Parts: sequence; C-alpha cells; structure tokens
Amino acid sequence: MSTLNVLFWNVQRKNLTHQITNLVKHKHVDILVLAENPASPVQLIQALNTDGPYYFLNHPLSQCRKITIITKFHYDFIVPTEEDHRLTTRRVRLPTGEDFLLTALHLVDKRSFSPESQNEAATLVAEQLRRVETRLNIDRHVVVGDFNMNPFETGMIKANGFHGTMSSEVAGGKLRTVQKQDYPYFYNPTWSLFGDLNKDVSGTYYYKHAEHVCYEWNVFDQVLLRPVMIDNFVKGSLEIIQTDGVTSLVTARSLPNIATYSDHLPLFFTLTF
Amino acid sequence: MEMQNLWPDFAIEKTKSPKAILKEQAGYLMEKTNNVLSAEIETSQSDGKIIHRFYIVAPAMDNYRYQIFTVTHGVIYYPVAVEWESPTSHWPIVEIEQTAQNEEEFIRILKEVFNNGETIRIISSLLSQSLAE
Repeated sequence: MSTLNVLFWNVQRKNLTHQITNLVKHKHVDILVLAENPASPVQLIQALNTDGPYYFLNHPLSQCRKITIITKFHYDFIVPTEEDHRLTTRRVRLPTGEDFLLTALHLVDKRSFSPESQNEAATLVAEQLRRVETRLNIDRHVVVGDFNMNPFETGMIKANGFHGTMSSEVAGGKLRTVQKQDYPYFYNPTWSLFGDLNKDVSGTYYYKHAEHVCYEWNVFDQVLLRPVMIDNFVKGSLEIIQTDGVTSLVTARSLPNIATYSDHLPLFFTLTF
Repeated sequence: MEMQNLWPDFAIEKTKSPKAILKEQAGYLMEKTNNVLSAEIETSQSDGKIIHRFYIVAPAMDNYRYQIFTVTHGVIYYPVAVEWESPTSHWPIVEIEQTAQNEEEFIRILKEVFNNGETIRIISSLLSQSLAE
C-alpha cells in the first residue's frame, strides 16, 4: 500500500521558503499545495532539494498564479486539466492506475465579499467541479484549499454548493436529490478540527472583530473528498500544523504568528492507495 | 367563414445575444492562432441568471482549459455583467466586474478583456507550449 502525504498552506504572500522546507521534510510531504506563494518556484525547489533531487516544479502548463503545487513525483503525473485564476484541477496518475482529480483553490475572502457573494461563488465553483468530473468521466476527486468559509456556512453545505457533510456515513450515500436534481456529496472531515481538544489551536485562521457574533477561530482551510475517495483518506492523519518541525508557527497564546509567518496554519492529511 | 390570422406582426429583435457574440469571438481566436487554440462557451443557469463561462482550450495539451471570464445576464440580454481578472503588476491579480448596458458596451468590455496583459500572457503561454508539442 502506498501513501501520499498532502500539505496545504496559504502563506499570505510571504516568502516562507525556510519554513516550507522544514515542514516538507518534517511531514514527509509528497504533494505540497501553496496559496498566495510569492517565492520563486525555482528558489523553493532548490531549497527543497538540498539533500537530493526529490521534488519537482509546478507543472509548466499551469496558468493559475494563486496556487503552486510541488510534488515528490514528476509533474507529468499531476497534469492540469482545467483552471481559472482561483483554482487548478489536476489529474493525478498513480502507478496503481487509480487516477484521481486534485483541485486546489483559494476562494474569495470575507473582507472583500459579502456572505451572499461568497455563497454565490461557492455555487459557481461547485458547479464547475461537477462539470469537470463529467467531462473527464471521473468521480474520484479531492478538493483542498482556502475556502474562506467555515464548513458550516451555506456555500459549503448546500446541495448546489459544495454539499459537504461532516459524516463519511452520510457521504457514503453518494448523492441527495433536491427538487428532482441529484447532487453528489463531498465528505468534509475538517468539521472535526474545531476546538482545542487534543491540540492547542482551535482552527486554521484566527480573526477577532468587534461584532456581537464572532467565532474568532475559523476553519477556512479544508479538504473535501468525493464518496469514492473516503476509503483512501486516513482519518487519523488530518491535522492543523502548529510547528514546522524546528520553529513554532504560533504565538505563546497559540494564535497564528502573523507577524513572522502566515495568518493561516497549514493543513495536513494522508491518502493511501 | 375562413378564420383570419389574428396575430399582429412581431418585431424581430435585432440585438445579438451575448452568447452569439462570444461564439463569434471564439471563432476569431481560432483564426488568430491558426487553429492551435480554441475557445468554448459553457452556459448554465443559477437563481434565474444565465451564466456563460469563456474557456481557452489547448487541444494539443490534452484539451487543457482555462476560464478567462464569465458573463452573467437575466432572461433579457442586457445588462450583462462581465467578471474577469487583471494584474496591476505581477502581484496581486485584481478581480474586475463590469456591467454593459447594451451590445456596444459589451463589445467594448470584451475588447478590454482580450487585450488585457493577463489574457495575453495565458494565451501566449498556451500557444508556445502547444506549438512545442
């Protein structure tokens, strides 16, 4: 059985090459997905390959500048199939023949877009993902990224949005019919990352503002899996990363250290095949 | 008594639909790139709105597609909203939404989108990579 360790991190337009390199080595990352990475990919590859030529550049065909994907296998095995400026869908070809789609995305943020606009954007992106699956005739699909919404928000849960459920058993039902239209589920395990049981942080993103309703901790960084991929997902592997293996990414209060690093914490998980 | 046709004469709408204009421009892109690249328009409906997605397609690159912009309108063609992206410098990319009240304004916005630095960068990159295949 082979495993793929996946790490997603929105680096907030900061050159965190040093921390990324530490993290990749510390977590034995096979697929590194970065959002808002300003560092030169060549510089990053050089830093990652100090011990040997293990990592490969982002696929040169990719035109999506918000997302960078670096892999421990040649980019010919993770080919972009459809993109826009906020998402990239790659077809991952495994030696086992179990291909799957990997979409990495960074959706519109709460500072510039109202909840209604975010909800609308979720509808459009989710529809785009369903169309890609139909076009390529594949329903093995993993979506990871900064959704800028919590797992419980309308765009994440509604049938014609991402239709993400916190239950793998519910997602195992494959689809739900609403007004004669079938909508496939995504299993969204990141629901389980809220709160500080068994860890110091309570989410991936902290934001405090002077409103009556304020969650403070949010889980904007998420992974969604189509039902046929649930068995490939190692549930115990999902974690919010607090250290790069050398240095802590959080403050003494266990908040993201935004002064030095990113306002988002990395998300890590493992797939097995 | 023979029944008369009671219907009045109807004026035929001379306005071109946004989709027809997009299809025409998709054809022009093929012409400009010697059929190396093509464009596809995908139409869907959401909340009473009609959404057209404009993709650049690279057939030589296993039909890789990049969505350049979207056009949204109601049952009546105009106004239409065009959403696209434009870099102010290398970073960041700025999202732009422009509204056209009529066909003329729509064509003007399309021209702006097609001649935008980001669009040219993407098309040039796909063209070079396709030709290298």
